[in-house]
Amino acid sequence: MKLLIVEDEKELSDSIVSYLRTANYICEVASRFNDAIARIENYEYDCIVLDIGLPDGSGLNLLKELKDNYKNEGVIILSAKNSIDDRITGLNMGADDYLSKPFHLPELSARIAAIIRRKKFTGNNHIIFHEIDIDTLGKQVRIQDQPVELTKKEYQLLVYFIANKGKVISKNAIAMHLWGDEMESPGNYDFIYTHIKNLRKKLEDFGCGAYIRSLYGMGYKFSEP
Amino acid sequence: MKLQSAYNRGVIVAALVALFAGGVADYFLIRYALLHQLDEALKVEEQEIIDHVRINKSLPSPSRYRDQRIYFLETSAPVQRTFRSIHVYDSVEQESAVIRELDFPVNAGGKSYKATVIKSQTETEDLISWILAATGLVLLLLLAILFAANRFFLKNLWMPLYRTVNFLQGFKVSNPNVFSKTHTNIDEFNALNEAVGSMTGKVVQDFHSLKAFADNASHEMQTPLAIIHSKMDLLIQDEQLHATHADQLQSMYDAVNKLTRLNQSLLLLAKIENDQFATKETVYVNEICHQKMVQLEDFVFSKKITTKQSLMPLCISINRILAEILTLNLLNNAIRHNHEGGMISISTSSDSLVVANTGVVTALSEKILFDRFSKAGRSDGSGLGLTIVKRICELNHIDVKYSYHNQMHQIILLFPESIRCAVDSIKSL
Repeated sequence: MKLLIVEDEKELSDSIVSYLRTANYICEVASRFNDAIARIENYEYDCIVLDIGLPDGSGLNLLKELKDNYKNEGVIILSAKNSIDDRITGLNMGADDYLSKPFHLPELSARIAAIIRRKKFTGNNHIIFHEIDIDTLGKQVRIQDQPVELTKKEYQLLVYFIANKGKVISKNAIAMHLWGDEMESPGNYDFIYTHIKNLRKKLEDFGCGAYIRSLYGMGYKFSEP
Repeated sequence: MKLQSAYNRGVIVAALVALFAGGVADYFLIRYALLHQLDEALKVEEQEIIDHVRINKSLPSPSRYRDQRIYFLETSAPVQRTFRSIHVYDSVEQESAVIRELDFPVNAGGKSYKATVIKSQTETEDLISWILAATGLVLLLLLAILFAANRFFLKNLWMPLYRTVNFLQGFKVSNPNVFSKTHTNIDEFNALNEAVGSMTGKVVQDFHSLKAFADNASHEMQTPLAIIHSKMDLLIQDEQLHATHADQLQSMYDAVNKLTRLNQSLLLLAKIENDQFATKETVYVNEICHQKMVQLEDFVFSKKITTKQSLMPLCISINRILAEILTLNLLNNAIRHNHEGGMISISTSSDSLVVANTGVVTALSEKILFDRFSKAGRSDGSGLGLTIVKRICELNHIDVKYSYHNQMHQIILLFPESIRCAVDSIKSL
């Protein structure tokens, strides 16, 4: 999958590229408005990560360009402003998602995966990881072809894990993903542990390998055993 | 008291004093003048008598008229020339009267006499009374006119001032009305308006630049925070990290999270001040409470907190996002400051919302509770949650209070009539 990262802050774009490259995305970076326009005109991408706070022209204009040229790339907007107006404008102008800074890289990764799924495999949105088969349209999970009942949070966790497979995900990131802005920094993350424990048990009950590993003090990792 | 009343009061007191003093002076002056006139008349008689004696070498005959009497008394004692006023009883008229008497010595035919000329002073006294009455009436009339004129002129005169005061009272830095410097005839008011105009202009300007600065500062902070977040997300991929590093990383994550949250709270407060949440709609507070409790159930569960909900329909007109933030902050606060196995009780009535929680066993200071950044006891929140609650309440005229009752910390919100709406009985749960 090919991604274009439009971000003028080099440290940030470096981090994003670092993380996504190891998830087997091919990443290109444009740090200027004109640069980005040139790339979009000449190449095709599966998803574009767009920072609308560009110094030399708002990213929203870029979005307009994309739509004017009937480009079909998925676009996720990054913004430092967390302004509702921006969010609505962006989505109305055809962006597929909106993420406000600061964000967790696993979060960005999961959202990119979701956008690509929606854009590419219309009608056949399945995530397959070994014996796990997730139907993202119907929100059904089957393990070894047996249907598995998951709670909403367990389902979201599983999708999140698989989208970031092979990566260490911090407890913070998981909490932010499941509870979003509602959550204030809690004293401890026990409540996450409960959900993960339940998910693990269900996976193992249905014959999965032990994919979910907990890493002391840091977080969790979903990978081959 | 009002300027007009104070001014009138002063004027009336001064007028009354003047009236009184004037009246008194008037009385004495008139009295003196009239009496003097009377005495002159007496002196005329005196002169006539003396002339008569000089020419005729004998006394004229005593006379007795209605308003004048002259008689002579032979006496050997020395006589002083004196003017006197005497109260007598007039047997004819059957009433008391006043007379003015002039005694003087006169010699005629080798004998010494005391001549007495008497004139009635009653008419004079009557005259004085009439004059006083007339003067008093005129003065009262003057007073009344003065009073009425005062009222009328004052009102109009001070109108520019009242306009300026009105403007200042309604002035809000975040949403200023334009001050129309209407030109008046009065220099002082023009000067005042000039000063008010320039001062408010400057205040608004300063406010905007400060706000812009705060806004920009907060926005600028988002990017470095994003960088830190992203670097840490990358850092933890290295599984060679020693266990102690893991602990430090977790602390770093928490600290950065807190910083992020703090920044977002500040931005939120700025937006609230900036009136960016102006659109209002009908909101059922009880429904929002219910939704938020569902969202927070994991946290409640992990802290083994029991909840009690009594949610009567409560419908108000408010910005929906602010209502959600308000409720969320109150509930988060109740969870955070609770102890393990504690209790939270939420209740809504037709005009109030009460969120109560167990926690620290002593009552908290209400002032500190809502103060920015104050933290009652240990907690990991950013401290701004309740400040935001308070600000939202202030903007929507909601009364918010804290009380410690039955070992529960209660935060009580009272919604005034002005923002309540009729409960749609079909819609209410």
